[in-house]
Amino acid sequence: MRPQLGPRGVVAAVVFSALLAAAATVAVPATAIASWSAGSAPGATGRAAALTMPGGPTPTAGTTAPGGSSVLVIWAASIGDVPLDGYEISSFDAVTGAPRAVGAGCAGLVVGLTCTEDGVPPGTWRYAVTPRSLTWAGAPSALSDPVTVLPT
Amino acid sequence: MRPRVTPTRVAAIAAVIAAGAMTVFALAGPALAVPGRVVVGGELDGLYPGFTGVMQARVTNEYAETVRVTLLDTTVLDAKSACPASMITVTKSATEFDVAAGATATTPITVHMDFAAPDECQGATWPLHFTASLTSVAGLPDTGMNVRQLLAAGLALLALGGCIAVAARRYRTGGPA
Repeated sequence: MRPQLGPRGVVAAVVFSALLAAAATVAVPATAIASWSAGSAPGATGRAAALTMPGGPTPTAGTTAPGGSSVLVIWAASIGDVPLDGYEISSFDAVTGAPRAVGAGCAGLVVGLTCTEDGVPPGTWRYAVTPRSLTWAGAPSALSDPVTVLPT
Repeated sequence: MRPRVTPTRVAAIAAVIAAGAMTVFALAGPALAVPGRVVVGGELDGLYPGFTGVMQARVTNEYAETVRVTLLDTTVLDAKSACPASMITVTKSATEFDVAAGATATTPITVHMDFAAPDECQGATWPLHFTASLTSVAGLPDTGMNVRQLLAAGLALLALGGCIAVAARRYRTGGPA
């Protein structure tokens, strides 16, 4: 005859299950067992934004001496949060608007707020200033009033 | 022949079911459902080529328990094709920190813009995606039950199932109680 489970057996099973649960509760330590990751949706709450460069201030230009071929260009500092390395000077024919390569004294990056271009060819010229910061450039300034250099 | 189902046996089976249910709910308790999440955010403006600055990343804990942030990683996405994510480098959080339930904590993140960032990056905005690695000493985020609770509940249910199976077999075979 197979063994049968009577009421006592059922009660014993209840006690056994309770003891088993209690043993499991005690045996398994409850420390630092959960770990997971959480994140933000791209662009939803996180961002890094870049500044923009300030524009160039309109310069003034004039010959350093009557009949001379040197032109003094002066401008104010550009106002902005990007630290500037300097300014680039451009020159244009006042009649045709054609650009002209700026000569020594104002060529390349000018760190200060003035420069004197020597050996300017005869003609009427306007100047513009562009602020620079490493690879960045601001908007070029408006053109200066024209300055005329006479033939020598 | 004695009746196959006696009041004693029915009461015993009911007791088994009740004991199992009580075991599960007593162990799981009110932590069975813990809705919540951890939200991470942070913004930093004013970047330019060569810039290095500190962004205070915010970690908001919406769970009902303290969580520990073990790592906060930031992924930078492209601002635009001419201004890729590689122009920005971001450090990981330096140390672990805890965030209390319902609270917001901040941690410094260093952000650097490459010196060679092209002119097209003027005014650009790079989306940032944060991933926080978290731990908890109290409960899993999905169910609120920890391992020991889950194990105890599983064992109790297993024992309960065994008892019911034996009782059902006895009922079918009609053996003596």
